[in-house]
Amino acid sequence: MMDAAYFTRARELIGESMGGFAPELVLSLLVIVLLMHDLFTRGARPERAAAIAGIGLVICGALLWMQSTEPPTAGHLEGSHEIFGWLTGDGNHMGMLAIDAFAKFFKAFVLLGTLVTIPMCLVHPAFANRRMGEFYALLVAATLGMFLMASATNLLMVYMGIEFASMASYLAVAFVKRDRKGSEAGLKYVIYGSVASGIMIYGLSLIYGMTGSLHISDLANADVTGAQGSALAVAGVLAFAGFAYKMAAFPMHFWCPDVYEGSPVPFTAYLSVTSKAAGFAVFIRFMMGFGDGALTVGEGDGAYSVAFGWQGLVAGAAALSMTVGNLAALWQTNLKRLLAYSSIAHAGYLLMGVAAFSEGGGAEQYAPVLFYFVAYFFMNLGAFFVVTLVAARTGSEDIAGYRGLITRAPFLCVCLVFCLVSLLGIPPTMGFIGKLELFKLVIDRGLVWLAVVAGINTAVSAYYYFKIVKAMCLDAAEDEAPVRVHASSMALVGLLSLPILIFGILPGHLYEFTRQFGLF
Amino acid sequence: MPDIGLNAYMLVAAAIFSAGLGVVVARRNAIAVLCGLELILNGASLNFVALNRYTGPVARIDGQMFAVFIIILAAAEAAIALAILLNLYQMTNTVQIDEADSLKN
Repeated sequence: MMDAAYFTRARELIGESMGGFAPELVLSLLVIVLLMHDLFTRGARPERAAAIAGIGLVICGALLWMQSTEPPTAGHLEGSHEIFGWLTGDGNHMGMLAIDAFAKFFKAFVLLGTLVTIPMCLVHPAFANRRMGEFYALLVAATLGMFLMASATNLLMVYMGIEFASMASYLAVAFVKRDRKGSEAGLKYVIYGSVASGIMIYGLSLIYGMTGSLHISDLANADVTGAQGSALAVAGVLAFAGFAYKMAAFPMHFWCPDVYEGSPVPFTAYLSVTSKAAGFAVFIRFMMGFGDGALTVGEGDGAYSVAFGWQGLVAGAAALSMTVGNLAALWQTNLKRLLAYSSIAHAGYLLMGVAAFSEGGGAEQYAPVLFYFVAYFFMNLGAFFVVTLVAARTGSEDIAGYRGLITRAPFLCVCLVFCLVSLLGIPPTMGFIGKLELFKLVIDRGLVWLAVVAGINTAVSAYYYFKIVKAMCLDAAEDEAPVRVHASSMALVGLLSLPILIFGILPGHLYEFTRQFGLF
Repeated sequence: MPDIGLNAYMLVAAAIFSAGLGVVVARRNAIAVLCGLELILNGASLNFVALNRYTGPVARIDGQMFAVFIIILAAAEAAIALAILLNLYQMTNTVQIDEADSLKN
């Protein structure tokens, strides 16, 4: 077995794996360079650290763009391109990371989210005149963790990716020293997060016991007999805790409002978009690994099926997430907290789409969820960018501070209105098209009750989104002084809000584009 | 030495896990909560090691590897949690979680 050919093949595999790992390698190097930047720089040079981070991310993006999802040498990988695998008797399909279109979509999503966060950091007052290399290093490290989450095909890699992204995020939330709110938010985040991932790995250990393998494609082969069917259900629910925490979905959503309120606004924006996307990516891959979960146990008349009902669990979590998020949002007066509850509700809408997935559903079933993610990217980052800019000038994150914004900063106000209208989901915005497609998918798969719950929730959410719009456009401002922001910030806000309208009116091409990124 | 069997290991692991979860839910002292967290992680590690020994393929050590990674990540997580806690302690002079309440709805 261990002959020369074996080692030659093993060396080839490492070479191939490194090729597929190039974007992640760039990010790893970038973390080191950013840390070194702080060590060898006199005084605070936040702009230069931002420039280094930006250039590194663009290089990573270029490598990701050029990356082929085809296996480098045909035959041995059984159609899927997985890297860092090991040689097994039946060919090498047991990799750690998948290089496929699905992973590529989420990696590009996370990368763009990180790139938008950098200019937000530059205008954030608490970050002015400090050594920022360390913060950007944490930001890039979290991005690297999310890259691993997006393509993890092994339960160990799932756990590592989630922890990698989380640990960098814990520190970034508590980054501003002597800021009591930030430290409290960091403490809550680290405690909730570690407990959630601890519960998850206990669930994963039970799943490992039933499958004898850590590879996601083996989850469907769980060796379940008799009473172990209920053990599989328990393990699935425990594992879901960890994923729900990353998605900020019920029942692990408690951390979300406190962390969003306490952490620096740019990082809140980053977390609300990228962390959620990575959580969904890893969960969808994990859930689809189970297949439809209908395992027949026993023979003849005594046979019964121990379907582990992911659909029921996910649909329930979706309905509760949107209801809890929307109801709690009604009473919020702090805009960051309000957007936190709104993001919990959006995790619910997205989970609603995930609940409708089925094993034989084909690649098209992913398109509504992916399209909604693109919409969520623009509307949530756009809204948070305006919040960052206004908070930097007025020092207020309360809705009261936004009274009369239409006269103080007409452009920002109009952009924020677009984002909020899209978050609510009324035409002619991208949020409307996204929600429409999600509803279609859900009703198509027979989950009509879930669509009804989501419809009621959308109506409820109109109250708090329009509360902000009313304060901005109809109420008189207490302070008439115009909110001045740099032209480049305005341009970026415009660039984030414009697609909401464009793709709201002409969604066709983008929707077709998202179709090719389904999981096969 | 007689083999005590998989069930014994898994029962102990479940007991450790439950004890850890109980500590996390019941205690308000952040240090105690972190101790409870270690118990949760150790329950999972014990499960992985035992299941690898009894149910996994003979030539593979996936479960053992997982346990090693849990130990490493647990140490990293404790370091991060303590760093954040220390920073908070310097401002508030307390490690009680329910006194960290400046974030309110």
